[in-house]
Amino acid sequence: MTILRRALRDRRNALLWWMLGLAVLNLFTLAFYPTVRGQQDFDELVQQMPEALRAMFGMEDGVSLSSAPGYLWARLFSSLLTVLLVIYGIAGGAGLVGGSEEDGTLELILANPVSRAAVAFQRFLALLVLLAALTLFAAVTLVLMALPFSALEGVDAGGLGVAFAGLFGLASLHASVAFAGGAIAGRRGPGLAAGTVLAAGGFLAQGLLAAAGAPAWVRNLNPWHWYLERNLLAFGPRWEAVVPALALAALPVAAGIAVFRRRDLR
Amino acid sequence: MTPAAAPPIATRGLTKRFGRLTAVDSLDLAVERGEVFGFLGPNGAGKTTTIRLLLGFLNPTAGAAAVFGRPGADPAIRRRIGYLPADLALDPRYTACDVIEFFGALRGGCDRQFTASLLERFALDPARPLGDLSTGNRRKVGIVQAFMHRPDLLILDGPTSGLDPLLQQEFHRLIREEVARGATVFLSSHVLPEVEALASRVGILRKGRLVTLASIDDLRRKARQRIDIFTAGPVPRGLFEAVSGVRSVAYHDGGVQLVVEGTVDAVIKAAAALTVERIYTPGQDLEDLFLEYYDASDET
Ligand SMILES: Nc1ncnc2c1ncn2[C@@H]1O[C@H](COP(=O)(O)OP(=O)(O)O)[C@@H](O)[C@H]1O
Ligand SMILES: [Mg+2]
Repeated sequence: MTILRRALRDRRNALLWWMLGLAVLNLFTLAFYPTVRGQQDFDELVQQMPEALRAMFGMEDGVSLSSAPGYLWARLFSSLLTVLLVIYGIAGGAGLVGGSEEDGTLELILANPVSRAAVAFQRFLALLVLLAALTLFAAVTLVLMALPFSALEGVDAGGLGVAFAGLFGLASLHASVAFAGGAIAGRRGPGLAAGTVLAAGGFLAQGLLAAAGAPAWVRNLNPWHWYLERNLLAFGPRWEAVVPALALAALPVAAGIAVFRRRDLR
Repeated sequence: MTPAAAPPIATRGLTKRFGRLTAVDSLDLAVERGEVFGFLGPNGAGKTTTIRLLLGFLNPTAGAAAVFGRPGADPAIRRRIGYLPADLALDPRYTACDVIEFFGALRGGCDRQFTASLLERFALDPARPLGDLSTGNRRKVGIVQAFMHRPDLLILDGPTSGLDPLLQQEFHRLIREEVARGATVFLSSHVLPEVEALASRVGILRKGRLVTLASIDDLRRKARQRIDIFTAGPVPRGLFEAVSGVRSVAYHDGGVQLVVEGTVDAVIKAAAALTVERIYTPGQDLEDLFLEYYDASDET
């Protein structure tokens, strides 16, 4: 576990900055909640928006945007909080093998008595640990800072927990795809590209396909749909928001390691 | 062959192609236990590629390489190898301390006392980040990490480039000590003096092919060097033509230019008859010293 511990230490400082960023995001979002709360005009405005737009911003029929579950789902879980964690996963994943191979630092580590598979796998585990820590930190700061703004009124507790677990699952899946891209190509770029395509494509498709009336099985191909399909904070926990993405994340990691074990280093 | 008796390095028909370029071509090599093997060749000859094949970073296109009878990628084998890369690429935020701790843990511990003595010998401040170090100091970190676990086999890629002469001496002493302890050294370089000072046997690589394999004494006998002798007056024709070892003579305004094979003793004695103002022996590079081998392989 030497590689894992080293990977955690190498990324510790960056993690603190990310935590600061997410805390600020949570604080700003919560601080605006009192001005939105109970505003009927707001809901009327939203009703006039095209459905695709509403779906994209996580505004669901039957959940008032001026309620805590509606507001937080739209402002955090359907937007910046999720996107930021996914970006953290992609940037981290692409660097684990691809990035460090590209900047040349991987080779000397691999001259040590440690297998390529062990290096790649332990580094990915480290990223999962970091992602979990970041997600947990976001959850704790949100709950604590929500108290003075009464921003958790009507929020399903179990649903909130699953919302953060699902966030971790979705970010892990993207990290895994980015990891595989980097591990297969031996460069950071392909990893970033693979993760970004999944993220941008999935995020946009989630809104657009719903509006276009695409059949359910098509929409169900999209991991973002599994997570965003229904407001977890208003309607409570759904296992599909967490488990499939996490399970699926194992595939790209396994494929990436399988290729990385055998190929030439750059 | 039992693992205990397996040679530190053995390759059979080892070949690596990058697209249409053949970087290493049917290399057959056996390095004996306890020897310092000099692996010489100009830049681009394929030395680093050979080393990367030995360590399992690259897969051979054909043939095979074995370290102590096993693939170099085997962790049990890696534990017995110390590798000094041509260019130390490590996270610039790491200090030498981080590197020692990290690699030490991966190797199942290093000899603490010995590592401390290495830091002292090379006057290395272990607390400074690698990114702040000069090339020479980074080189020293490379040396410390390669030697600190007292490996059975040292694979050194162009080891003293970037070291000042004093440290080079210290480094050569270190290598000799480790060899005396029983270690084997594979020393890759593009300059002869570095190899000459340490190696007992030398292989010369050119365009991926092993063009010669000889003891260092043989090589010295066969090595050619250019000598420019600048004289006060004109050099009488015929003075050097018959001298032993002289392979070519060219007169110029300021004196004479010779190519001599092996010892230059006879040339120096013949030159005593002249008023010699300056002697110039250009280049320590293989290109100059091993004209013979290069000429021979260029003809093909
Ligand atoms: N990964 C690679 N891809 C393509 N060409 C390479 C690669 N590595 C080395 N080469 C080429 O192989 C040849 C031998 O390189 P190298 O082994 O580094 O030589 P040396 O170490 O003797 O200077 C050079 O022409 C180099 O450009
Ligand atoms: Mg080289």
